[in-house]
Amino acid sequence: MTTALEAPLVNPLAAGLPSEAVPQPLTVVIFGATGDLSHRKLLPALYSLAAGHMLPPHFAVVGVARREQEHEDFRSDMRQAVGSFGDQGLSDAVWDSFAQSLHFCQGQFQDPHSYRALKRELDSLKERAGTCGNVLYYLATPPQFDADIVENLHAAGLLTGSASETPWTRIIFEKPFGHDLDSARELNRRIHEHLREDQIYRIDHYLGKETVQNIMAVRFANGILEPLWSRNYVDNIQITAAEAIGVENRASYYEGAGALRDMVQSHLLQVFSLVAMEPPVSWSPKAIHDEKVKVLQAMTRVRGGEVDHQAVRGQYGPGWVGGKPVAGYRQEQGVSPESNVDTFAALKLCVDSWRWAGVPIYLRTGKRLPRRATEVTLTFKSPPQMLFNRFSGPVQDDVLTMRIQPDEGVTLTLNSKVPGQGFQIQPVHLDFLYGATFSGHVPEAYERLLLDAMRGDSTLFTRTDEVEEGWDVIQGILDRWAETPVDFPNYPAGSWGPPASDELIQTDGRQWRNP
Amino acid sequence: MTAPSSSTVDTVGAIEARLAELRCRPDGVDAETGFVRARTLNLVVYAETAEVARQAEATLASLAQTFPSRAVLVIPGEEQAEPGISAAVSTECHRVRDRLVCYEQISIHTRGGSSRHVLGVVEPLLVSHLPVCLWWLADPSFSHDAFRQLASISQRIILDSRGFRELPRDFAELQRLVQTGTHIVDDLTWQRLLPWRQVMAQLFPGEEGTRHLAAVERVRVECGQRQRAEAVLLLAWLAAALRWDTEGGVRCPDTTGARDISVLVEPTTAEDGLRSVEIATGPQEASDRFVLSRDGPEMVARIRGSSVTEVSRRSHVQWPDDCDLIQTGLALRGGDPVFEQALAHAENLSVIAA
Repeated sequence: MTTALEAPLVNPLAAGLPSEAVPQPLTVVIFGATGDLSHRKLLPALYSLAAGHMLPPHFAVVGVARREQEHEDFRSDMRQAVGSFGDQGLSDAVWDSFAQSLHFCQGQFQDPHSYRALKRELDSLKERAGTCGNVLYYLATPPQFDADIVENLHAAGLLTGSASETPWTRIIFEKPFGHDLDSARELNRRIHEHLREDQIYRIDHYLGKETVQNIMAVRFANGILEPLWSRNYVDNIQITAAEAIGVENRASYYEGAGALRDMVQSHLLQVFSLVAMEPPVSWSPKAIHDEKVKVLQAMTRVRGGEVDHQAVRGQYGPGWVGGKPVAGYRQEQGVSPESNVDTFAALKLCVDSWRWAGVPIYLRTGKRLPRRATEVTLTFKSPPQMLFNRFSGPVQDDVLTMRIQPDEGVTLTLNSKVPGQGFQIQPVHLDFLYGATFSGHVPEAYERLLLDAMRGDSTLFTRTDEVEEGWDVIQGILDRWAETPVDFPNYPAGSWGPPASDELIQTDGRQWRNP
Repeated sequence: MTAPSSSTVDTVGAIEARLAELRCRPDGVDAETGFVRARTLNLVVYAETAEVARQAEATLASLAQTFPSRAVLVIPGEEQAEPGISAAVSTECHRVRDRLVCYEQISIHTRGGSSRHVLGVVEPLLVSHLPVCLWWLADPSFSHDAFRQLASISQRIILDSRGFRELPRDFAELQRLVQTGTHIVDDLTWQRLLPWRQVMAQLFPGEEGTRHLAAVERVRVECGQRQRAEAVLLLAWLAAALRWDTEGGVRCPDTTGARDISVLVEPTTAEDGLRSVEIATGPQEASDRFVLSRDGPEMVARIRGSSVTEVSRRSHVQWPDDCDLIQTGLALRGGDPVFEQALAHAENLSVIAA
């Protein structure tokens, strides 16, 4: 029996639980609470966490938006949102309990008076709901308001504390974080005047996906792969993020962004940095961010005329997707008929590092491609001597495919002898399908990321230098594209992009691996 | 899920031959349908009656979705009969997108002396290089011949202390088994406590929570009369986590000496285990109370008292079935040190909380 007095754990009852770090009491303040992101993602994620008893008992949500409404109207609106977009159904009793935590505060993001009202609400909740003054702000607002909101929060005395000492303050910023390198630096400068880096959580929802996190598990939990994971054995790396949908209801945002900004600077470079990083010295946010940043720093910067040979942009015209006719980008609602915004981007990049020097990295993303699929493939070099060519012709290279969505899983394609008298060689798949191996509730990316931010774990968020390096990698391409004319549209909806995309890779004697 | 197919054979050699046939093409799967044989472990199940075996089969079918295994189900029969076995080999498949994922199940009825020599029947049927897990669905008498033999080839043993009838003795036996360190032991009742432990931990966050936990005076647990082991394990977990001394009574060692803690298990007529847990701090007349109670599929958490912010929260709990409980255990690669620490208090608390 234990009789000696020893220093207790912070919460001894949490030891050994699947999620040992229970969030401390807190209020989540959502700016833009009546917007699309809140309806589709944030409130369903918070409800799911509440229903799954992942939130502390002393918890509150304050929605801030320009629209005037009562607490009850806000609750009713959010109930509808959870019913429509939640993935687990809605229990009346659980909703009633959760709804007690929901509050609304009308306010203009640039009006200092609104922040004083918010402060009164938070002070009151600290007493009424026992939230201890801890606040997690979520800026689900257009990015041009980010810095103003931070400055107004500061001016109203709402950024007290640090990221970890009670009471703490943290802020989640939605992507895009800046519009280019200069604007990202300026935004970082302005928010760092009032916040320390460990209070800043820049969200990239791709990092909340189980399959993206599994990239690290596949790499660092399997000794068999590490010796192969380098220029010595890898011929090329491809990442494709294909969408079958068009611009949908995001035209106003997309017209100012395009595929390169929307997908490559954030999602694709984040996924690639996980694929290419060195093993971190520990499983700490800093160690992981440090290694990701080194990858981004080592990526070649493509500038000026080089861009024309290493990057391809495209915009979809009318075509057929899934057997149905679809409009071209310029015919979409909210899009200018003369728009020159890219809906497709394909790049060839390199990483000047000991591990990856000379290995081409092909990144490709686009809208209105034949199917929705995101995957990473590593194609391995051919054996030095082809013993079987005279029986089978050239054999395929071995390929490791990590499917991020859909059909989440990992496939290794190897060559095998076809049974029989001859010596025919044929590729076969060793397949791991998430769905066949694991069942149960897979948390939505926003559930995971919100909970991590509540716990103060920034591993799956992006750091200042990551964001700026990401912009720096594509800045030369953005500049070149801004100054050279285009002839859009240049690919029909339902195809794999413009012909120049195929030429980009075929010049190197390779092919895109279409999912 | 396709219907399982099977045919009866009566020698180990015939079982192996049947397995070889099924390896090429599971019964009921046509030549055009793609299938994957998936096995992540050998699961040996010892069920003391045919009825228990039938219930286990249903769990095995669900379990195959996440831990497809070669399952060997042993059902001992008449002791006085001629030695022998009768076995059915089947494959069961479930569809994952465009292909079938199939696993094998061997159900063996043993008779006479064969029931005392199950090792020779089971061992040749295991898939080599895969871990062996024994799910023991019989009396927790760990000196039982079959238990000793099957445990000798297993790395993990699953049992359920909910079935314990002689509490101090059975927990003592279980603790001895765990202490040998030769096996990872999963107790399904311990896994059943997981939602309770999870929500309970959330009631005591941060420094404030630690302060309350250091001041616990009374714990009251309501539990179905036939599932007392569950209440005892929950108390044992609290005792281990909060470093209480349970020798002859429950005391919390603190800087001013030892403070007595009152623990009480109140039996109810319910048949589904724990109903509520109440932890009270401070003197009776001015105490803060942290209460968890089960209300159908939901858990209600309440905090009441003069020095706390009062709150009531309701969350939905997927109360786990046996399949979920086994999965939870199998997902842990090693043993569970928190369980082992709790078990050290279970024998004492079985007596104190009676």
